Amino acid sequence: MENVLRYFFFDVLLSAGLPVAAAYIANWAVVNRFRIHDYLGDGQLCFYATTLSVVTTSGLFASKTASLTVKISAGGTMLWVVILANVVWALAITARIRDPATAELSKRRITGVSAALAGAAILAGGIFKWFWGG
Amino acid sequence: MTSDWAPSDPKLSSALRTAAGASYGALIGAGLAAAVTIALAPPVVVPALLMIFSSGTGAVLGYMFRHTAEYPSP
Repeated sequence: MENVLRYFFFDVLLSAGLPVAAAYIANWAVVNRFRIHDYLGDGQLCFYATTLSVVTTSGLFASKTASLTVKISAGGTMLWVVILANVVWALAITARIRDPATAELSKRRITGVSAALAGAAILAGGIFKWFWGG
Repeated sequence: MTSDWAPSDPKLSSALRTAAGASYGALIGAGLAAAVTIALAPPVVVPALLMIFSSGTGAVLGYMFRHTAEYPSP
């Protein structure tokens, strides 16, 4: 349980929450308008999901206590999230470059999809850390 | 609804919808997996399969939705 709480504090709250909170404060102080897709519309959360999944998988494979079943199940799932995040980001950016007229909508789309992926990576990481105790 | 998904290129639009469906499916699967893990404490394979299966279902639904939106039945 302690490792899961540590994971949520360092890997989620500090890594993902702090930059968004800083952007929110800066906007509130300067322009008084906060639209989340202005900050996350370039797929930042796709990179976060990729990094979180890769770091979790790396720790998992380095672990001496995790069984082979845990390594295969958790590693496979996290790598699936990595593949998805990269495909989503590459396609979304390509779509935006192709259709500059819909760039604003494209930013909203990337924000929504990448937030879903980041959420999946966060939850999956927490679940597998629970099993593996890493 | 179609306009926000790269309408000028049907292939790109289709790929985007499929990938987005898979992503939302993965999130739903992860939520289900977390609930099942907390409630039942199953073997590790169960949450892993739940996530992958849910993601695959989301991908299929995303792909089908694109076709429904693009080619409505007469």
